[in-house]
Amino acid sequence: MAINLTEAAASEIKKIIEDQAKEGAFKAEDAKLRVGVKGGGCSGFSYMLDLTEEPKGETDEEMEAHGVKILCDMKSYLYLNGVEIDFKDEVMGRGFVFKNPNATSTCGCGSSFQA
Amino acid sequence: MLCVSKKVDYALSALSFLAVHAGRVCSAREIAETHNLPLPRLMNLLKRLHRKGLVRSVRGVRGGYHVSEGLDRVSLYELITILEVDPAHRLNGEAIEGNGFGPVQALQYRLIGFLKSVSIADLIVPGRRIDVPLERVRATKRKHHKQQTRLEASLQPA
Repeated sequence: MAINLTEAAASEIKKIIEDQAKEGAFKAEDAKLRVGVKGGGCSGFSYMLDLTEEPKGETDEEMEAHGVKILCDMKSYLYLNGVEIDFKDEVMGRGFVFKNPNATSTCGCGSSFQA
Repeated sequence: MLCVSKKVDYALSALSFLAVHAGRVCSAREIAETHNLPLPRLMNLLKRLHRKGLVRSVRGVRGGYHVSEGLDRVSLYELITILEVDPAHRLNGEAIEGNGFGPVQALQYRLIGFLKSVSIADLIVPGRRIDVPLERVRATKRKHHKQQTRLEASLQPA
């Protein structure tokens, strides 16, 4: 069990990393995807995706999926272990979909869940 | 400017709650508390959704609402029409069939087509709906980068 990215999601993340690297945000080879949950959603948590070049912290889990380095803090990992992140490009928008086996109740606002 | 109103936002939140808890009756109060929505406003919206068959109601002490089947066949356009006015009228303040400027009418038809192409189910069903929009990943980093750049600049010796 870990955090997994589909090939489509990984490909999209790599594109974003390349774009950000061109803008000088960081070096592409140092970029990592930080995955997490944060408070504030109506059911307690909502998903978070961020790009960072910071090294793995003491409380981080580090993994890799389809060539994308992933960081996740331990607290978030409790809720995200086993999650698969997919990418959707559809008429209602483009973005990432979390398929989370730990979520017992996905909230209605579209951005949070309970575990 | 065309945007999703609070009314539509509240209705989608309520429908999503009911879709996630399909199989049981949920009270308006429960939905309002979970989503931090104003209860009287939510009750009015649920009544309208009930009248149009998008939700079913159960009377009694343990009464409430549950979601109807077939939200795949209901478009965002229909939801807006149920809650507000026909978007075709709203987009330009008058009927699209009016004597409007051609390019603007073409744009309106495109916008209406878009609203008709999105089903409610696409917006509320877990595993189908988008959890993190693509733009949010970019925006977070840019903001962070700007903050970092500002911090670096402030640390530079004068």
